[in-house]
Parts: sequence; C-alpha cells; structure tokens
Amino acid sequence: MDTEINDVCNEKLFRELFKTHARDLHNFLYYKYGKDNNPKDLVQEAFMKLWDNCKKVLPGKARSFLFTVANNQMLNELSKKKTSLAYEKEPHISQTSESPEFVMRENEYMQRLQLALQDLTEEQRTTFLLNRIDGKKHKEIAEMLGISTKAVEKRIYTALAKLREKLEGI
Amino acid sequence: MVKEEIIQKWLNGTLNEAERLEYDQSDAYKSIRKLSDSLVFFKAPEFNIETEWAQLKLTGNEKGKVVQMPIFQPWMRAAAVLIILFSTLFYFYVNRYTETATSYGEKAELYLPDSSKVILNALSSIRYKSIGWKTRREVILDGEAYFEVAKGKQFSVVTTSGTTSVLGTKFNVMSREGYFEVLCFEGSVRVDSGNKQATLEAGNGFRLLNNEVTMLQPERIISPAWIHGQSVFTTVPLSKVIREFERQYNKTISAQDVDLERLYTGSFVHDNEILALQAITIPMNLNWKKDGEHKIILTARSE
Repeated sequence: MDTEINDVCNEKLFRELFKTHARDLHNFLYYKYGKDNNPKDLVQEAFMKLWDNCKKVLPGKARSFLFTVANNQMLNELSKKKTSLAYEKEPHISQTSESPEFVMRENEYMQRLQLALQDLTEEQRTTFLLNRIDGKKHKEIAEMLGISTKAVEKRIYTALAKLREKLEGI
Repeated sequence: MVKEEIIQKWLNGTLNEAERLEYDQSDAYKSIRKLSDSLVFFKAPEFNIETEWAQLKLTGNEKGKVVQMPIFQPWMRAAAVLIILFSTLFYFYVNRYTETATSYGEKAELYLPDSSKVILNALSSIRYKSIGWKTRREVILDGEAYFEVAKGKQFSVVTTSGTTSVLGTKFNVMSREGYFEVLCFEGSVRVDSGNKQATLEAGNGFRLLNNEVTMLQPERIISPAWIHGQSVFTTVPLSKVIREFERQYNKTISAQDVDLERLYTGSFVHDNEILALQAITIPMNLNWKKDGEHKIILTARSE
C-alpha cells in the first residue's frame, strides 16, 4: 500500500497534482493560445492523458508531461484560432466623473494593448504574462516551459520592448 | 532614454537603491507603470480547482476507480471486523454450555430451562445449552443424576456409556467407570447403549456392566434412595460399592486380599461414616481400619 502512494495512479496523489498544476497549466494555455481555444478543455484532456498513462509517469515528471501534452494537443488541432485575449470590460478607473475624452483615451489604450499582445510570439507572450500578471518567478517559468532562466529573462525583456514600441510609437 | 540594462534589472528584480532611483525618474517608468497596471485586466479568467476537478472524467480508468474505492472504505473495514467479532461472540453464546458439577460428598439440585428438575449425586457433572432448549432438550451427564422431566419434546441424557431418551418422566441415570444404570420411576424411558436398546416402564431398570445387560426390577420406590441420603445396591460388585463410598465421603479405600467382584446387596447412609463402613463391611465379612485422615484399609476378616 505505502509504495503505491508514489504512483500517479493513486487517486490522492493524482488529486494533489491536479490542485498544484491545473491552474498554472490553464493560465499558460490561456496566455499562449487565448480564450477561443478552450484552455479549460485542454487542461481536462491533459489530465485525462496523465491518468491514462499514470503507470508510466513518475510524480516528479508529471508537470512537464502535462505541459508537453497540452501543448501538443493544441498544435494538433487544425482549426486553431488566432490568439485573442479578452480584457475585462470594466472601466479602468471606476469613477464616472472622468471626462468622456479621458474614458475614450483609456479604451483606445486597452485596445492597442490587446493588439500588441496578440502580435507577440506565443513564447514571448506566455513568458511575459506569466511573469507580469501571475507573478511567476523566472525559475518557475523556466521549469514549466523547459527552458533556461536566461531565456526567460530575455523573452520578458523582448516582449516588454515590443509592447512599449507599439504603444508609445503611435 | 534610460539604459536597457536598468529595465532588465528592474524586470529581474535586481535593482539596487541607486539604480531604483534612476529607474523611477526615467521617462520609461511612467509608460511601463501604465502598461503594468493595464495588464492586470488581461489576467486569465478564474480557474476554480474544485469545479474543474469535479468535471474531470477519468475515462477508461473509471471502472478501476469505482471498484477500488468501496474495498478500502475505512468504515467497511471496521464493519467487517465487527461482523466477525459479533459472529464469533454469537457462536460462542449460542454454543455455550451451562454446567453444574458436584464434589465429594456433595449433592446439587438444579432446574433446567423448562423447569425439569435434576438432582446430581456426588462427584458428578451435567451440562446443557440453554439457547434453543425448547427444540433440543439434551443434557450431557458424567456421573449420576435423578431426573424429573417436564412434559414436552424428547428429552435426552447423553453419557459416554449410552443415551437415555424420554418424553416426560422420572428416572435415574448413573454412568461411572464402565457401570451404566438407568432406573425408571414414572412413565417410560428408552435407553440406547452401543448396540443395546431397551425400553423401560416404571419400576424397571437397565444395567450395563462389563458389556453385559441386566434388566432390573427393583422394589417399588418412587425415587432413588440416594436423593434421600442413602445408597442402595442390589447385587452390585463390591468394587462399585467402594467407589460410591469414596465419592460420598471423600476417602480412598484400599483392599488387601479382598475379592472385589463379590456381589453386594444392601445400602449405606451418606451422613455417618462409621455406620456406612459397617453397613458395607459386616455383610461382606470384612475388617476396616483408618490409615491417616483420608485412607481406609479393608482386610478379609480372619475366623
């Protein structure tokens, strides 16, 4: 019995893996492929695959297995839609006392930002948003994506430079 | 324009105090600050772990999952242990015997679950199951006992020498060291002893001694003498009489040059040792003397 605790097939352990990795995986997929490619479904599919292969996957390898599987599944989908990130529609500043001109400028900025994010490469966007929005450390992202921390730093910097260029250039 | 290096350090969170000051005062600071503030609105939608887990269908393995669960439910293990425990207790409860035994010189009177009366003679024991007594009236006897059986289903007295079965009557059973005797005082009883069977009417007796059956016709008495404090013998080997004396008085009797197979007819009382010894020795033409507290020696009386 005790030796089986270390098996991914053990339901308790499997649930722990889900708790630990499901959200990270979801956000990764969302930032990479956007809202139109059903990141939640992809998370489900990835965990189903992990369950089916639970005997072959060591618990320590489960995370990289999940990220690889989810990524491959996405690439396999022929009807891949263009990445689109939705931003929340609430006004940037909640007070309505702002001048209509200001509100309009803000909306315009958000739209430009949205387009700028879409124009980043998948790698740049994923890395940048996991860091800047989800607050993931460089090391964590490196482990998730299977790249070096140096590469993570470079991607983030490049992404920021590109975004600034698009937003400020106009 | 601030140096790229500063922005990179800011991104890595490795700015020192001086660099931080430089960064905060740069023209890049404002635009990056606005960018960062705006990014929050692009955060991935809420992902509820519990909801998503509930929706997760582990297809293919579901069967294994479902089968595994109930077996390892802790309460089921506890239940299994309890069932075994109670079954065992119940088994012992149902099969437990009620036992009564007497020592040297003792007699005991007891009542069975159906109010049948039993009187145990000295150094005898009786046991029976009180659970299910109504359907199976059976007692196991070692020694001698007198029964007054209440009317009902078949009542059996099991001894190593044979079984006595009745429906409701008064009778005495004695089973001691190869000596088996049944006396019927009322109604009728059936005796099964190995390949020998007999049905006794009131006033008849059955004796099995040295594999030989003797049918007895004792005096018309309504109960055995021993329950009234007397042992009565009719043509019984002296050895059996001596054994009965030993049981009633807790003594050991040794005989020197005495023929123990001689038959004795007579009786002795249970409450007067000297009188009892005389009752045995005088008719048999024997002498007796005490040898310590518990020993008696019998010798042939010389002319």
